[in-house]
Amino acid sequence: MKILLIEDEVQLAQTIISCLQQEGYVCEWAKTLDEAEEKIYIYAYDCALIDLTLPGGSGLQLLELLKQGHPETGIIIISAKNSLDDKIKGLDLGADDYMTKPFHLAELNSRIKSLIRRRKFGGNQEIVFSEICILPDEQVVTVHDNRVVLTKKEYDLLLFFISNKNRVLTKEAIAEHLWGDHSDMLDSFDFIYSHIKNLRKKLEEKGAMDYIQTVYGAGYKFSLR
Amino acid sequence: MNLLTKTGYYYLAISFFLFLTGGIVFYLYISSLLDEEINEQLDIAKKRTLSYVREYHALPATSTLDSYTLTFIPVTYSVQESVIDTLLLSPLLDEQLPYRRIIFPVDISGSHYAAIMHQPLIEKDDLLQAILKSLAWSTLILVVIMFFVSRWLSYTLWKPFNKTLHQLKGAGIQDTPHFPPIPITEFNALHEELNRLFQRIQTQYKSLKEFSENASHELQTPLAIIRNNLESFLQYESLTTVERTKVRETYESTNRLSRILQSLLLLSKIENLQFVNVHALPMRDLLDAGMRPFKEILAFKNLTVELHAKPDTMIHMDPYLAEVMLSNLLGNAFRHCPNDGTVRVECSDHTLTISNSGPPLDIPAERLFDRFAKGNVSIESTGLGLALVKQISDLNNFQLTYSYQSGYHKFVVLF
Repeated sequence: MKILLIEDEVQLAQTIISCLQQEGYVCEWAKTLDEAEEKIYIYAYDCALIDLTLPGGSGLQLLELLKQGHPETGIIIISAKNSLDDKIKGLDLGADDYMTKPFHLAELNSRIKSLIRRRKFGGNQEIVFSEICILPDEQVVTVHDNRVVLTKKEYDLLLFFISNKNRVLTKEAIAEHLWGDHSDMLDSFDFIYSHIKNLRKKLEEKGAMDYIQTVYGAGYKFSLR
Repeated sequence: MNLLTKTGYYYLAISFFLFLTGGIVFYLYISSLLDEEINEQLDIAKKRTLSYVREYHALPATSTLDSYTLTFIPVTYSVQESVIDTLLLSPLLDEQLPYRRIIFPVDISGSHYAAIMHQPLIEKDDLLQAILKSLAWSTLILVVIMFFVSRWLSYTLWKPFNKTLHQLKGAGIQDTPHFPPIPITEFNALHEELNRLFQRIQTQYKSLKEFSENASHELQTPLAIIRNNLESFLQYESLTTVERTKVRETYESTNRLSRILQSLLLLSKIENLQFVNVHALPMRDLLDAGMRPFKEILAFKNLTVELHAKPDTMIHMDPYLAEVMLSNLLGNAFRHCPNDGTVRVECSDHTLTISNSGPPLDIPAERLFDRFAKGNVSIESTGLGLALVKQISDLNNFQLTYSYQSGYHKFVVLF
């Protein structure tokens, strides 16, 4: 999977690149509008992450270029501008998603995965983590072929965990993924914990191993023991 | 008072004064003219009499039918010539009328005569009355004409001004009006100044808007770097518990900082009037949508929610601000309501009441809507939620009040 990152902030770009490389993506980086245009002309990518404010112009210009040359590339806008106008404009021009800085790396990772899944496999690809199997199209989860009945939030939580397996997820990142902008209204972290507990219980009932580890002082991690 | 009425009053006062002085001057002038004329008449008559006497050496025939009467009285000595005004009884009218009398000596071959001549004078009262009457009439006519002229003027001359005023009333930041050039110098100057003013407002508004967007960009990017680095840091398994706790604390503060920044920017955007797409929104749908994200936390905290929303109640405001306002009010109630508590949401025409059970405030109620006025300190709260609600209510001229009654915190929005 090849990802093009178009971002002028060096440090931010480096953190994103190293995170994406850990996930096994091939990541290329363009710092300016010109560099980005050159790369878009020459190569094809599965996904492009575009910052809107770039030296040389607005990242919105790249959207059209991508739509013409490589309509199969998934596009996520990453912008510090939390402006509704920009969001609407970006999505109108064909972006698949819009993320406002600062965002959680886990969130970026999960959105890239979901985008590639939608684009490449039409959402039909099964997601398998040892005995747990997820059918994203039908939002169905099975353990050893037995169906697990989850609430919408529990399902989202599981998918978020599996998309970010082996990563420590902070409670903030989880809350923001599940409740978006409203997450700061729910300051009770016991609440997140109770959700995780319920998910764990439902999976174990069907015979799954407990893959959710508590990393003391940091958050939770989904991984093989 | 209308500008034209005011100028009308001034014109009236001035013309009254002018007519009055004019009348006095007119009166004095006419009466002196008449006086002179009578003296002249008497003089001519006297001269004619004397020349007659010189030519014929006899007294002329006297007549009483003439405008003046001439009589001769034989005297023993030559009289002094004199002119006096006197009143004589008019036998025809049976009243005393003013006359001017001249007495002069006439000598015919040694005999002395006193010639007495009377000339009737115009009564001063009559003259005065006539002048006053004509003045009164002209003033009246002037007033009537001025009334109609001012009506006509206000309609034609002030038409462009009224149009400008009408344009100004509908003006806002979003749709600044353009005032076209007009041939009347004063109004044209007004239009030019207004255009300049609106242009300046527009520029300032734009730069303010740009500033908040730039501030957002310039501050969020370093924050994103800090946060992402800390997040990567947390991945290291080799971290000791103390190190991890420190990283985690820094990470939490960064999160808070980012949220405060976002709320402050939203506040300044509201202050800059960047949300003015007013629509009629169904309150019930807004409340349902506002409640949805809290579904899980309600179940978790075992809160009882009593929702009574009258259908078809509409609120007129920007949709995004409506969402922010309700989300903050509801979030506030759910957050501060203790476990197993009750939250009541009632909505009827023009009134929204959101109340939650809970212990009394530990900050003064009047500080509740201030920025960064936080009660039971929680690290997650930005202290800006209710300030945002207040700002949004003020923008829309809603009335927002808080009270604490029988164990319930009650927020009322009158819209």
